[in-house]
Amino acid sequence: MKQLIAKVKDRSKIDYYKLLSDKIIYDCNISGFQRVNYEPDHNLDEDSWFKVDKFSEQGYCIELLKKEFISAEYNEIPADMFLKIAYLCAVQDDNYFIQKITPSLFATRKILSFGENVKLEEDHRRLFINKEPDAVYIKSEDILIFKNLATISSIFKGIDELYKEATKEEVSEFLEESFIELNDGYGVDRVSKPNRKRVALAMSTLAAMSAPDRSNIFTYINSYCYEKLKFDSENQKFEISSDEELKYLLYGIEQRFYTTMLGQEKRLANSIQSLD
Amino acid sequence: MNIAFRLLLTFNATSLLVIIFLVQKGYTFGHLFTGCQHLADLPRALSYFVYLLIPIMLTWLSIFLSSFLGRDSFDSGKIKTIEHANNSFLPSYLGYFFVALSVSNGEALLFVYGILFVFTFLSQALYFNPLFLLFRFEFYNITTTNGASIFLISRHVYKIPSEIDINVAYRINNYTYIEKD
Repeated sequence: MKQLIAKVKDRSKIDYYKLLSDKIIYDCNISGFQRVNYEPDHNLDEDSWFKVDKFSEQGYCIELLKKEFISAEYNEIPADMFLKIAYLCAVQDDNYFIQKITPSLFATRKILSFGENVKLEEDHRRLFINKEPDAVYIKSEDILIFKNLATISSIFKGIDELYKEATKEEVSEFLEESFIELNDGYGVDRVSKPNRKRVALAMSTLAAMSAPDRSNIFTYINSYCYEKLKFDSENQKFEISSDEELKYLLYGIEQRFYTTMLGQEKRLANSIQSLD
Repeated sequence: MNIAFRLLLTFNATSLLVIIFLVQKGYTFGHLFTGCQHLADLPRALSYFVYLLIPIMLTWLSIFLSSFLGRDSFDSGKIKTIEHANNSFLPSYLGYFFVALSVSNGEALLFVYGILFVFTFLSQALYFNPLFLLFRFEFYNITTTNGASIFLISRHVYKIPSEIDINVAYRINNYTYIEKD
């Protein structure tokens, strides 16, 4: 039987509630989905999904998916819990369709409904269900499929290690570059998520640079960051001992530092747009 | 809807107390409707029979209405233990009987019944209604593989947990389910 349950974020001990039964919530044919292993820079086709094999054995798998599903074990949701729903889970034929609930999915606008008469509805207790779920757990194959890792990382705490795993090699390769000297035990495991993204970019920028260009870039970085980033000009090495220092170095490689024409103010552009 | 249904179940479960009181005091139709002489001429047993008929009819109605409740299923292999619970009525029902027999007047009945009604309603022990037995229902305490304990009302005779494979069970409350066919 099809069941819809919800996880709520609340201090009470019960966190899953039953919402509905016997209704098809997500009408998608999961067997038609292409599945690919997760890679951060992979651009998914519309019909393909990332997958995690042996999902129940992963540390970030939730208890709900591991144990047998028996709908009678979940209490009916009390009305005061509606707005606290964190995610929905529709159990349809041993497949678990999971949708994260964000405040924007609650209907807070006025709604015109067309039945026999046109009615204006201002009741705010409505929740939009997306056409596609954010993740599907296929129990028979023990596989989780999803499209966006960032969306589901609040549901499966720790699943972003997939991201780190995937970028680990690149990051460690970058940190081994000759112009970097690691200090204070800083290493690949301590590189934050945003920096991992920047590393990938910086690597390709560096690869396109000639040796003299590189040396110029280092001088450029040093001229802007001499207070924040130690540079050993003899050995051409930056000392990196924290995530922040790495961030400045990465921004520098991307030439994000500039000086205003009037006033000569030094600035950092944390987002850029090419005018060419 | 849900609250109205629960009120109905509570009434069914506790109404025997009122009936026993009426019978014990010998209150027939003639006493209740003093204006009608032809009612007073009817045999006493007929009055009592009609009294009894009311909760029976309402119990039938509640079984009928339960189709509109939320639906759940118990698939085979998901039940760990089963225990027949038909007898668990007896102690609480004997309690009702003795209370009803010792209530002295209408006012006291109103008060005692009121308290009993409120607590039965709040305790959600709504299924404690032996009238279900008349409709050939059996009562079971079952435990799921994950350890949740559930009260199941069903017409089927179950003995071992693996026999339970219920497509549709209606949720009376979070601990009580009824299988109708």
